[in-house]
Amino acid sequence: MSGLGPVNIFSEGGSEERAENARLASFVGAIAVGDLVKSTLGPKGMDKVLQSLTDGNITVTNDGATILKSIALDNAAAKVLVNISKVQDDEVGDGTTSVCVLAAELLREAERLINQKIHPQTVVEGYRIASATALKALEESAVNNGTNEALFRKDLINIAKTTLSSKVLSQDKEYFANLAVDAVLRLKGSTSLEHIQIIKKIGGKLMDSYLDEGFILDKKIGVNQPKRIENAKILIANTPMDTDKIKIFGARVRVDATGKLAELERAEKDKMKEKVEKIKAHGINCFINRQLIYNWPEQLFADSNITAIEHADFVGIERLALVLGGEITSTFDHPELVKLGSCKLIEEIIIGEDRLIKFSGVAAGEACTVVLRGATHQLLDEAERSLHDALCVLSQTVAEPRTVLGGGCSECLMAKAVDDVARTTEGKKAMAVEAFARALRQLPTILADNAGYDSSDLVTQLRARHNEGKSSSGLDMYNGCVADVKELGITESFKLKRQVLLSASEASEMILRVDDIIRAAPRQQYHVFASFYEMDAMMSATITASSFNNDGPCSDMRCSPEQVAYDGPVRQSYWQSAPDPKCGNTWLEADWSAVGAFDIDSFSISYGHLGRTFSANLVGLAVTTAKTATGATETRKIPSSYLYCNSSSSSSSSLSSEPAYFSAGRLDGCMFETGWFGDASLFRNVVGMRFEWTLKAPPLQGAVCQMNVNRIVVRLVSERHGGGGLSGGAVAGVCVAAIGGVVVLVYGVLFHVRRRNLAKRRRAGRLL
Amino acid sequence: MAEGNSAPKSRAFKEKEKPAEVRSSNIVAAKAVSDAVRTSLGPRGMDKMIQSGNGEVVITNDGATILKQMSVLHPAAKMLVDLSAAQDVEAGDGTTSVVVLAGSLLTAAEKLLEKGIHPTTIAESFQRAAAKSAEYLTEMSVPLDLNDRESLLKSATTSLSSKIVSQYSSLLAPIAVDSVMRVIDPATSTNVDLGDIRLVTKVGGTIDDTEMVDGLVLTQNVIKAGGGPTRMDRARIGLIQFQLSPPKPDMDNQIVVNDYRQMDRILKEERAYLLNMCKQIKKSGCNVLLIQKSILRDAVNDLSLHFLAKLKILAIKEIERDEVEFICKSTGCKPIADIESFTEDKLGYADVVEEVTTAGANVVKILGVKNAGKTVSVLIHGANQLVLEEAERSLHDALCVIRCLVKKRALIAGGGAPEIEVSQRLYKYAKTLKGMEAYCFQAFAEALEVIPTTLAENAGLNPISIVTELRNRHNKGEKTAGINVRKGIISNILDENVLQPLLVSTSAIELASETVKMIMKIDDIVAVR
Repeated sequence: MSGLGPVNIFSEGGSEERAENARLASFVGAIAVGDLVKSTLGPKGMDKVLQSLTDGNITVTNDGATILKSIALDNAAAKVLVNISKVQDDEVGDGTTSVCVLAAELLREAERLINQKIHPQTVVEGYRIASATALKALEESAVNNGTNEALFRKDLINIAKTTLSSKVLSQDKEYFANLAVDAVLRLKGSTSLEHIQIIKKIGGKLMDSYLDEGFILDKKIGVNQPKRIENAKILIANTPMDTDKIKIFGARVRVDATGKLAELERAEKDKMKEKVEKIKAHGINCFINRQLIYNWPEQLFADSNITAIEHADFVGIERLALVLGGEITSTFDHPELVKLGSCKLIEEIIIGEDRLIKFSGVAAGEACTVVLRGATHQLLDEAERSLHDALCVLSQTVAEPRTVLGGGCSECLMAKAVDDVARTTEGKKAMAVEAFARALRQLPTILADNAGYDSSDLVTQLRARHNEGKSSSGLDMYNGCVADVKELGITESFKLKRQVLLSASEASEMILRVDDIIRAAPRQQYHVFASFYEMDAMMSATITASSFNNDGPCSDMRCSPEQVAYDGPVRQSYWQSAPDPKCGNTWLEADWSAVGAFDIDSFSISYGHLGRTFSANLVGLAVTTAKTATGATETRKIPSSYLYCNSSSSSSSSLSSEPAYFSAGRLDGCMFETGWFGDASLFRNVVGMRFEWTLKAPPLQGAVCQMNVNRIVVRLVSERHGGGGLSGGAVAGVCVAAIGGVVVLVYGVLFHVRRRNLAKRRRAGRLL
Repeated sequence: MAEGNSAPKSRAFKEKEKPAEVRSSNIVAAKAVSDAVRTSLGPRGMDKMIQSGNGEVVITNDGATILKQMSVLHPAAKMLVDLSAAQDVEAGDGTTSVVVLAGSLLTAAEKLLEKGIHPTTIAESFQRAAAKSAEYLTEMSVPLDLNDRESLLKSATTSLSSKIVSQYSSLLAPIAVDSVMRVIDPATSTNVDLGDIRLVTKVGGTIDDTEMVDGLVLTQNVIKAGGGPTRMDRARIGLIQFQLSPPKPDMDNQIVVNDYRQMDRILKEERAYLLNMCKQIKKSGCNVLLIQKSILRDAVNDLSLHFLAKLKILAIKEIERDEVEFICKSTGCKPIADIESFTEDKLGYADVVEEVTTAGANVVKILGVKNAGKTVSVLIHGANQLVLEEAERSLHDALCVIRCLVKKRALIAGGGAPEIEVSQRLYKYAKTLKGMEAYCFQAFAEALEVIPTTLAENAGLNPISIVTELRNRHNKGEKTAGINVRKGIISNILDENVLQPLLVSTSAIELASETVKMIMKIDDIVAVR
C-alpha cells in the first residue's frame, strides 16, 4: 500500500475491517456485552436500571433479554449475542443471560487461543467436538419424571423456584412457584400462555398477588346495568355503537327545514335501536364491544337488563373471545350463526382502588388470571417479567419433561465430560476442547463472584467433587458452599440448558469464522421541502380519521379532512380527532393507494393535544402495506420498542425547521426509522398508514381527550412504483379554538420528503 | 486452569467499583427525597409550598402530594415517589412515614455495605425483618369492632392531627367516620369504594362550614337565564343525555333556504320541536332536569330554557359523564338518552332540590332522596383554594384511615410507640440469630427508630433524650408509651387517644422494605433509547 495512494473501493462512508482488526472488533464487542449482563446471573445477581434518554422513564430489571433489547449497539458481534438472547427468550423464556454469558466466555477463550497462533477454524473444530460431548453428557444426566404426577409437580415447583430465585420475586419464590405451577398445569400441556392473563395493580405487597381462575377485565359496567350475572351468555363484538354513519367523505344531507333534520336525527336513533334489537335477538345478557357504546344504546341495553361493556381494548377482546369461547362479531343479522361466549358468573370486584369485572367459570377451563400487587411500577413490571419467564419455562417443561440440575452442577458435569474427551483428542484442536470446558466452568465462577464468595476456591472444590464422581454437586449460594443440589432442589429445564449450550456454541462459532467486516455506506439523505404544487399528489391520499367534528367550513378552525384548505402563504391544514369524552382510541389513516406503493425510509409524526404529555407507550402505530406481487394488503404493526417517541416543549422540537409555528404549545412526537431502530422490511411497498393512539390519562375536569396531529413527515427511499409526484409538503399555522371552555391547540400538517434520486434532487434544489 | 481463573477474577474485581458508585448514588438520591419530606411528619410537622412549572402553588403536608409535585429525575428518587403513591393506594395515610422509613433503611443499608456485607444479603434480611415486624405489629394490635365509634373517631383524629386542618379535627373526624359507615354494611364489608363518597369543594366560608349532606350535592348551578325555579319541593328528577337544542344528526347536513318564507318556517319548526320535547318532559311528571354535558352541541338554548321555565322545570346543565353513575346511584334515577324513552319510571324522587348559598358559595342540594343508594356527599368549604385543596386531601386521608380499619379491623397506638416496641423486639430477636443476618436485623431495628426521632425533632424536642427514654420505658414493659407531642413528654399514648390502623403501619414497613430491596439490588444504570 505504501507507494500508492489509498484506493477507494467502497463508496464514501463505507468501510472494511480485515482479519485481525475484524476479529478484535468482534471479540471486544461480544465480550463487552457478556460482561454487561453477567452481574445479573444467579440468585445473588444484581439488577440494572435502564434509563431512557428520551423521556427519562426507568425500568429496573434482571432479565438479560430486556437489558440487551434496550441498549443501543453498534457492533456486529454484539448484535449476534443480543439476537441469541432474544431467540432464547422466544424459545424457552429464561436463560437469556446465561446464553449470552456463555457465548462471551467461549469467545474470550477463543481469543486467547488465537493469540497463541491457533487458526480460528481449528478452534471451531474443537468447539464442535466439545459441544457435542457436552450435549451428550447433559442428555445422560437428564431425568424424566413426566410419568409420575407427584414427582413431576415437585420438579416443576423446583424449576420455578430456581428461575424465580434470581429475580425480584426471590423472597416469595415458594409462593410464586406454586402460583406459576398452578397456572401452567391449568393449561393442560399447551404452551400458549395467552390463557394466562397478568394484571398489575400498584399498592399492596408482592405477597398479596394471587391466582384467580377466570378472566378479569379492567373495564366498567355501564350505568344502571346488572352488576352481577349468573350463567352469562355473552356476545363479543367489534362494531360502532355511536351511529352507523355513511363513511364516504363529502356525503352530506341537504334539507330545507328543521323538522326534516329532526326526522333525520330520529332516523339515526331508530337505526341504532334496530341494531340493539338485533343484538338482543341473540338472547344474550352481556354484550361486550371493542368500540365505544354511546349513551343511547347504553340506555337501551340497560332497559332490557343486558350488561354492556364498552371499549374493551383489542388484546382484551381477543382474549375474551378465546377464554369465553365466543367469536368476535360485527354483523348481527344471523343470530343462529353466531357463536356466543358463556361463563358461570360475571361480577365486579375491587382491586386496590379500582373496580374491575371478573368472569368466572369460563368456557376455556385453562384460562386464569394472575393479579400482581407491588409497591412501585418498576417492581410490578419486573415481577411480571419474572413471572412470565417462569411461566414460559414451566410450559416448555410440561412439553419436554426432562430436567437437569442447576447451581452450576450441569456446567461442571459437562466440563468434566469435555475434559475427558480433550485428553483423548489429538492435535491442536484438543486445546480448543479444553478451552470449551474452561468456558463452561466460568458460569459457576460468575455465580459465585456475584454472590461475593471466593469463586476460585468454590469452583475448584466443585470440580474436585465431580471428579470424585459426586455428579450432583453444585453451588449453594445461600450458604456459600458446595452442596448436593439434588437435595437442595435446584432444578432446571433440560430444554433450557440445551438451548443455552447450542445457541452459545453456534453463535461463538459464527463470530469466530468472521474475518472481515464490511460496513455499507449509510444511505445518503437529502432534505427537500416539497414545493407547493407537489402537494397535490400528496393530497391524492385519502386521509380519514376516527370521525370528525364536521362543523362546516374551516371557519371555526376545525376542519374535516376533505376541507383542508390552502390559500396563499398561510396554509392551514391539520387533522383533529373527534373529541372523545371517554378518552378512547383515536386513529388517523392515510391512504396513498391511488398513487401507488413506495418505500419509506422513515416517518415521524407529531401530535399535541389538550396539554397532556404523551409517552411512547401511549401510542401504537400500525402500517398498512401492499405486496406488489399479490396485490394483497396486510397490516404490520411496528413494535413500540422500535418507536422513538419524545414529549418535548416546542423549543426542542427535533423535527421542525419553522419553530415559530409551533411555539404555542407542546410538540410530542414519535418516529421510526427503518435502518436504525427496526426492521427495514416493515416499510417496503407502503400504500397507507394507520396511526393509533390510546389516550390513557383520564380527562381533567371539564376536558375531553382529543388528538391533534400536527404533521406527518415521511422520507422516501425511492419511487419505484410511480410515486412520481409524491413529495408534497405543506405547512400550516397554529390555530387556537376554544371549545366548551377547553383550549385546543391545533397545528398543521407537513410532509417533507428526502430522497436519493439524483434527478429529483436537482429538481428540488431548483425549487428551493 | 489457574490462569483461566485468575484473569477474569481480576477483571471482575475492578468492575466492582462501578456498582458501588451506582449504589451510593442511588442511596444518596433516595435519601435526599426522604429528607425533603421528613419535616412534614407528625402533628407538629411543617407544610411545604410547591410551585409548579406553570406557576401554580400547592401547599400541603401530604407526603404523596409533595412527592408527586416534585419533578424528580433520578431513577432511585422516582422509585420513592412511586412508593409513596403505592402507600396512598393501599392505605391512604402514612405516605410521609413510608418515605422517611425507606430513607432510614437505606442509611442503615449504606452502613452495612461499608462493613462489606453483600447487598443481596442485606436486602433479603431486611425483607425478613419487615415480615417479622409486621408479625409483631399484628401481635400488638387491638381488634376493633366497627360499631365502636369512639375508636374510629380517635384514629381519624390522629390522621387529621398532622394536617393543616388539625384544629377542625373534631368536625372532620365525625364526617369521615359517618360517611364511610353510611356507604358500607359494618357487619359484612371488607372494603370501601371511596368512589361512593363524593367530596365537593367550594371556596367561601371557613372549614367550619364543611358538612356532610345526606343526599347529593352538585357544584353546577341552576340555570336561571330563562327565569326558571331554583327550588323544588317533592322533586322528580330526570337525568337526560340528549340536548334541548335544535336537532343535529351525526351526518353532515346543510339546510338550504330558498326564500324568506322558508326561513320563517324553519324558525317555527325549531320552536315547535323544542316545545314538543319540553312538553313531553313535563308530561312524565319530571320537574327537575339534569342535563349531561355534550361537546358537540349546546345542552340548552334560550328558547328551550324559556319553555322549561314556563313549565316550571328546574334545569341544571353541564353534568359530566363520569358523574352520571354517582348521580344515578344517589338519586335512584336512570339516565335517559332519548326523548322517546322519557318515562316516569326513570325518574328519581327527592323531598327537595334547592340551590342554596352557604358561606358565599352556590351549590345545589338534593335532599331527602327516596330509594337512595349507599352514597354520601361531603361539602367542604375553605377560605381559599389552597386551604380547600389541602382540606380535601386531609379528609381523603381520614377516609382512607377508616377504610383501612374496615379492611383490617385492628388498631395500634400511634406517637411512635409501635415503632419503638417493634424495634426493641427486633433487637432481642437479632440476638438469637447469627451471621450477617443478625447484623442486618439490628440495623433494621435501629432504622425503625427514625419515626419517633423525626416526630420528636419536628416537635422541637430533644430527639436523643426522647428516644432513649422511650426505649427505657418500653424495656420496662410499657408497650404503649409514646411521644405526646402536644405536651412534649412521654406518656401512655392510648390515654391521649392517639390511635392508628394496623394496616397503615404494616403496609408502610412492608412497602418500604420492598423498595429498599429493589434499590439495593441495582448495580448499574444503563442509558437506553
